[in-house]
Amino acid sequence: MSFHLNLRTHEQALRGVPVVVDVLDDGLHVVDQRTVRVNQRSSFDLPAGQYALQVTLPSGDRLTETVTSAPGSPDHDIALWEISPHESMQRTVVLKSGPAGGGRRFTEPGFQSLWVRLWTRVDGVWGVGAWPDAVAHWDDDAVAYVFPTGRRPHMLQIGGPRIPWRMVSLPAAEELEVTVQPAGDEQTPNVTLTVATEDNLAEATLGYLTAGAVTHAGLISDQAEDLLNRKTTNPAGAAVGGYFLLRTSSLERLHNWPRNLANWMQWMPDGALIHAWQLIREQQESREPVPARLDEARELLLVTVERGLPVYTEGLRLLVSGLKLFDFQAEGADPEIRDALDRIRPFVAAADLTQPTTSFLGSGPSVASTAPAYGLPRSRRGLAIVYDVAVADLVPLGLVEAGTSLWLNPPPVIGPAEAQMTPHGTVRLADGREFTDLFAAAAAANRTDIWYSWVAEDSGPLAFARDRARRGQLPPP
Amino acid sequence: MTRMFFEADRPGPAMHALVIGVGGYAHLPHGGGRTIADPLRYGNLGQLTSPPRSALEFANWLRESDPIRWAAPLASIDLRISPAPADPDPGGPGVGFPDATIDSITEAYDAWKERCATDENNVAVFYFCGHGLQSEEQLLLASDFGRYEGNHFRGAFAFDSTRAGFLQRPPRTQCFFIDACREVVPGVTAPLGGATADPLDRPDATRRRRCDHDLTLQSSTPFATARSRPKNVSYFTAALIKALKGGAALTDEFADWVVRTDRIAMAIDSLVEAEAGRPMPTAKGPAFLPTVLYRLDGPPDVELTLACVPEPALGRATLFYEPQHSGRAVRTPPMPEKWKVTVKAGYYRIGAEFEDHTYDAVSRTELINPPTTAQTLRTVGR
Repeated sequence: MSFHLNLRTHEQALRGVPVVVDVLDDGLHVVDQRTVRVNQRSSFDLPAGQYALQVTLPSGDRLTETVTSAPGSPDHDIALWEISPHESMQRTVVLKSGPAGGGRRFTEPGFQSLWVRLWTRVDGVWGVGAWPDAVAHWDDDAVAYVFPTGRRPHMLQIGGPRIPWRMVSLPAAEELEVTVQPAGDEQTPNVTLTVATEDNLAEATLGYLTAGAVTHAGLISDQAEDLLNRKTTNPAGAAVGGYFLLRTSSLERLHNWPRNLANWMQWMPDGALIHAWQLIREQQESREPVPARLDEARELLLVTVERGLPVYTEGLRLLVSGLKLFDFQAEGADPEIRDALDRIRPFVAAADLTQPTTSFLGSGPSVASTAPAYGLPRSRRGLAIVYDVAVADLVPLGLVEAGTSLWLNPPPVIGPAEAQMTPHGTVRLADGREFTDLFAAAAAANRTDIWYSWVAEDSGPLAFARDRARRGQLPPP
Repeated sequence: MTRMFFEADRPGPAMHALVIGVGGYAHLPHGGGRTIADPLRYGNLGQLTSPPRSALEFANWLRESDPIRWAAPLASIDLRISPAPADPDPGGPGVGFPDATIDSITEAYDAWKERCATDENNVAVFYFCGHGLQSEEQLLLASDFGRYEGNHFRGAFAFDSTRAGFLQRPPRTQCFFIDACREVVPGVTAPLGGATADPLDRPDATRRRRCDHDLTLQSSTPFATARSRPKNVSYFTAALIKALKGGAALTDEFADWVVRTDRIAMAIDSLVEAEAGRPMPTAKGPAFLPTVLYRLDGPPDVELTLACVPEPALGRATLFYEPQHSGRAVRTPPMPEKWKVTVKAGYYRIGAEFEDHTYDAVSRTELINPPTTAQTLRTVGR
């Protein structure tokens, strides 16, 4: 007897994400625990009867369903889009903890003129680059960007008049997905920011580790060695695999790959750090520690600090722990270790250790701040507005000239609009956006957005100016 | 020799707890002692009424829980409490405890470490509630923080290094619960080199890790305040106790309801949010491999909420739930509000019937899991 399970999605990028499922019989005994993959049919051979399926997503969220095992039972489908507020959010909701949608909207005053910019390190120097020509979705409860980061360190900076400036480390990816959501409350608005590479195995492993589900991470990460071995094609995934194997003390499964990661990917500090901790842990477990190996580990920790902050928060923790380990060993008398600790102390103090990638409050990649900065940067270089521009900022940002005449058009009447019903049950608008909610589809199709009703002389609806701001196309001062 | 809050002579592996609640800070404003100069450099630190009560609540729950249900039976609880002047008797009139000065905490920690090391299958539980600050690691403030003018942090200890040091000590199962702020203030980070406090324990580059099962939870993220209610148990501690009581329980291969370390880590954020009414994410430790901490003697309580869509159907529905081997509970007459009830975890038949036949009756079987389960019944109008 058997039944079949499908975790269904119409988000292409989610296909194949490994997810852990527990099966309980009608007496509540756990009779099976295994990994299934999104959009792949999984068969469970179990005696006839009623079962409960407990699906633990990498985000840490748990879905519970009951199912009957009987001859000819139809497939049991779990629609992952039902837990996501938007089609564009499905991958984030499945993989990342936190973005549950707290009911806040970007249209609220606290989120006006919220901005982002992208910092890149080239030849050891950080600078703001042009805002990438990203694929983007702007919804009033979530904004998602997809852009490549390539083989060099990147940090995203986000801030606003009421949102403290924050730096977020971005892993190397061909297609990095960044999602920003409004959070906090009216008095203290904040944002939730998640980043995900295109590597589903690495992201699912990171998700389970962040949620505290090490066993689940272990179940899907039989291929953790594969992740690490793919270091040349996917260095960020290799780092995640390395951190997982360190966390589970699977030292023999690390092989000599951390050394290669450290040597071949010098732009990514995590490689040297993972190698340092591989050596430390090996010596700690050894009956006869070799001092030279510990010296090498010490050197690698110093190299890590020279290369910059680790991409992942797990790395930041390990970096501090490692440096303190050698600081204690030297009774505080090792000036190089002390200097390294002094260099990273402000970043650790300002870091948010609940985030998967290194995040800290700061006015730039090299400056962590204990007194958070607020407002718009004076420099407009590479600046993109996340959702709405505060009306007071339209002139200072050069989006509308002072003295420009405005007039108000009545909001458009609902309909008509063209759309198509898709095979997977969504309404697809002419511009390609898909919706499961007819009202949301109608609102989006008709642009019932007051920014389209206010029209500026010469430059058209204010929405056009806002759109330029969102795409990082602010005019030079 | 300090008199223990609880001590039982138990052979074999046992659980040993050290519980610290710091509410009275002699050298902070209104603490009764010499107040440190420029206290604002450490933010708005003052006297706290919640930590002593939170620590006592946690210790009392440990003591009152069934000792044999723990992975190792409870053998000792050492308690260090410094009450706030505004709440001098958190344990009741005339009930006193050893003060939570840094010397007292250090002495208690060393003794607790020795008790924990008697058997590698012991369970170590460390709980701290009080002021915390964030430097390159979390600094936890003892009641005599600021006593020495030359270095106020002689009255504090560095938590992360302490934790890293204890990982290299027995036993194999270790739980550290830190209910304290992690605010970054100028007095911590502005001085050259930053503020440092000594740890209670130190990690060693050549010492083996002895901990296989870790549950480390820190109640607030950097820059965040661990919120609580004056003279009440903190949100984090209330959530932690709920988790241990069964809010984080699940069944194992024997169908026993168990509370595992990883499930507590996974459930704690939603339990804290339920207590506080807003998200207050916790920081979690290395975890390693999960283990069962506590076995319940039956299914835990679950807050079950039943509702209908479309919404008007709720006002016409006779809602019911029916446990697997017991009778049906029915809500009658129909009401427009969702039905919230506390039930035991397990399989239930849930459903809605309509006496006026405006909608089709609907029912299904669901596994109702702790801590809360919301079920919506989709109905079709006639």
